[in-house]
Amino acid sequence: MNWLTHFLWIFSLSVLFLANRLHFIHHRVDLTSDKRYSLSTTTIELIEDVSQLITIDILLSGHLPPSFLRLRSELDQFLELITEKTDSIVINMVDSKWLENNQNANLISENLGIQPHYVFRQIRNTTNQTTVFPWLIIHNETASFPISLLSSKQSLTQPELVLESIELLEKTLLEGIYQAAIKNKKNIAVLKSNKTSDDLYLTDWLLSLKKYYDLASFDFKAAGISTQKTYENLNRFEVLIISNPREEFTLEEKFIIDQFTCHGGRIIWLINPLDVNLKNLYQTENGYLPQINDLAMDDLFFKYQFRFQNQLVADLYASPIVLATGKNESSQYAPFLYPYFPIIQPNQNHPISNRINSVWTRLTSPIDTLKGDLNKTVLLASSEYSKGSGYPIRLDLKTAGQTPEFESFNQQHFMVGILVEGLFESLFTHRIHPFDMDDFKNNGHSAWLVITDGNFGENQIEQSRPLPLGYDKWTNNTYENKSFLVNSVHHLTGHHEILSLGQKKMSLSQLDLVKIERNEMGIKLFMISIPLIVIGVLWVLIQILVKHPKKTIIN
Amino acid sequence: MHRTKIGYLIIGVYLIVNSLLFWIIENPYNILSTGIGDLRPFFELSPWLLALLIPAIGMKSFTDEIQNKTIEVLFSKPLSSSHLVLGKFFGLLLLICVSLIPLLIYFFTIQLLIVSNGSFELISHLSGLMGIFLIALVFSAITLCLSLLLKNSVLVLIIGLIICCFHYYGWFYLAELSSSTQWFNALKSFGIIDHYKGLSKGILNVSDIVYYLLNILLFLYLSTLFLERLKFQK
Repeated sequence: MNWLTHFLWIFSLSVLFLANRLHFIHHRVDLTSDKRYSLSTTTIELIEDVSQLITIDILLSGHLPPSFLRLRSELDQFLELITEKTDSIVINMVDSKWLENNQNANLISENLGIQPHYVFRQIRNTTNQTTVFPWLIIHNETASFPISLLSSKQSLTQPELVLESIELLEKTLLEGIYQAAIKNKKNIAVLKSNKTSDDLYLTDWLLSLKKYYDLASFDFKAAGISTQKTYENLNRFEVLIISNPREEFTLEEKFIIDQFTCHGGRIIWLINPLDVNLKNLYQTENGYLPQINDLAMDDLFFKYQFRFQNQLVADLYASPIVLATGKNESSQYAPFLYPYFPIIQPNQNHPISNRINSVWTRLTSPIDTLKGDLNKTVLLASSEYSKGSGYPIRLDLKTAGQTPEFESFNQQHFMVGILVEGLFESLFTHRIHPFDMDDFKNNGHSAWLVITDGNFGENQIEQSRPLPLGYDKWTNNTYENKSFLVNSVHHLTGHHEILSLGQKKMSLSQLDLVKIERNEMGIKLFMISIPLIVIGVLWVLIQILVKHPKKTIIN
Repeated sequence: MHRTKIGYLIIGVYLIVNSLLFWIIENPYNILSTGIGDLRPFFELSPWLLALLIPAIGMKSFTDEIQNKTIEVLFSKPLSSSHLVLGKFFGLLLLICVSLIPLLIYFFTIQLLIVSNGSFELISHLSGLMGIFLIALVFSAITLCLSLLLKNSVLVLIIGLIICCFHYYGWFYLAELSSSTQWFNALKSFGIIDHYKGLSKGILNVSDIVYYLLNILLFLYLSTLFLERLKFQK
């Protein structure tokens, strides 16, 4: 071999070696049809903005069942993409042996609420149980945030659950990073006066908001503070949450709300137009007649182009309630469909609700929107099989036991949740102001979310502890009221980037189980015959191609 | 011609093992029982099967020639060492093609079985197949190298299997033993698996391709050096 050949070998080797080491050709192409392994632009912006050190502990490790191996590999893929973009995020694997120790498992379960997930696998006649921790812990410099990787949907089978979780992975992960990275949390006020919901009932919703926002309670009737001061206090907040008020607002309070809106403050109203009360419903034997829940706000609502109908919505798509039948010892609990508790599929074309399944409303009333410049989006509407029961109406639980008259449910789509956005004009422009306001504004851009169910954001309570919002302890069903309300707050505060984090739909296709069932034997026979066919063809080919030249040589 | 008979056998066994693993025997890698319409299990397991297949089909490349002294015939021809090595390499490449091309049938089978509103991602699967092909080329270069060093073809098979497995996964295992992240990343990047993960999912990275070319050329060059040494010993 001459020197030139040696030189060529060594030259090409060193060129490749340099190319490999110096990273100057890190060009990367994502060939998947849905660009599954590329980050969206909002995500990249979010990650590059992270300025403090964030550590991500992966608890999903050790000997994993196959479906979780997939979840883990998808997780690694995302984390790799993220760490490529920034140096402030560090990944840390938690040793699976550390987790197998019961003491450690108890420790993280107590401090962070991290629960293991059990996977059961049927292998012939024995059931195999594996414990996995599908969790991440994200730390910033001051706090730790436990993040569950598994979707919380109850009704899914194991593989479906993991597929669903893979689909939600980017969203879960980035929401976690977002929580840890957020610096200046926006302020949100929760109204305490005017007989709004008790804290205990709002606990779950507010706790999930607390990850992203600073929350404070707000009182119109705080002693010793002038109305001007009250207004200034309120104006520090971006969003005001008014959940289930049952006492009318005074003229001053209305003026403050009006001006808060015109100065850009956004409001979430969860109101019952009729004075319905779940307690009364369950406790009175013969039912009761709900009065009108007069908040003295009708003129303001009218100005902002909507009004409530004094009716209750009954819907054939409703949740069951559990009632006792029989007497004393022979009593049984059984679920009955209760048409006044509609289950609603939110508007799938709005960023707030396009990934949200059913939400649960109770004793809700229809909203009318009026013509005007404000932009009104229907987020929640009853089904096409609904009817309005006009005021006065006797509310009792006996309705639950009766078979509904299907023909009478012929009114369609009552609006029960709307988003009003645009330029809000003050009600007090040409009126006497209740008090002198320093910076009165005639109009301003704002947004209101109005839902005619005072209980929409209230969680149930068991043994004086709050249950998750949207969970019904009587029927053991879970509805997505919480995600809906949290998304609404993100939308109102302008945190659109969180909403769009979950936009990507993955197209991991499933196999058609029916086709497999039908053709299983055929597929298996075909697969086992491939090697034989290939070898046969190969043999014939070689006979033709190789034997002839040999003969010519011999001849 | 006596060599091809064992060639049929090896390729046949490889294809049968593939069919059994991914379609017939009930195991976590069975594609029918995962219920998901892609070939992820196939891409996960294939490098291990190749670590067995390639040393098996390449074990006799030079050992037989040396044992039967036919290597002298080759030396006497006007061919340089590089040409001899490349010739053997392309011979192996042909056999690899013959064993991998039938696996394209898996793609079509999945395409037929997928739910009617789903779609099969052909392009990202082709990138996975390319990854497997590149790994096979690296393994053949390693096998050629070994068949020049070792006298016994069974030894080539066994040591080839060990080295291929190590080169595929061992670096990653070593990396996991290390404590600092720099060592972890450096050791990991020596291994094939680090450059195969992306390809198997449909992410085409130029630096990964460079890695494979570098490996192939490196082992082929070593082979020419070994052959050169053999020539001058005689």
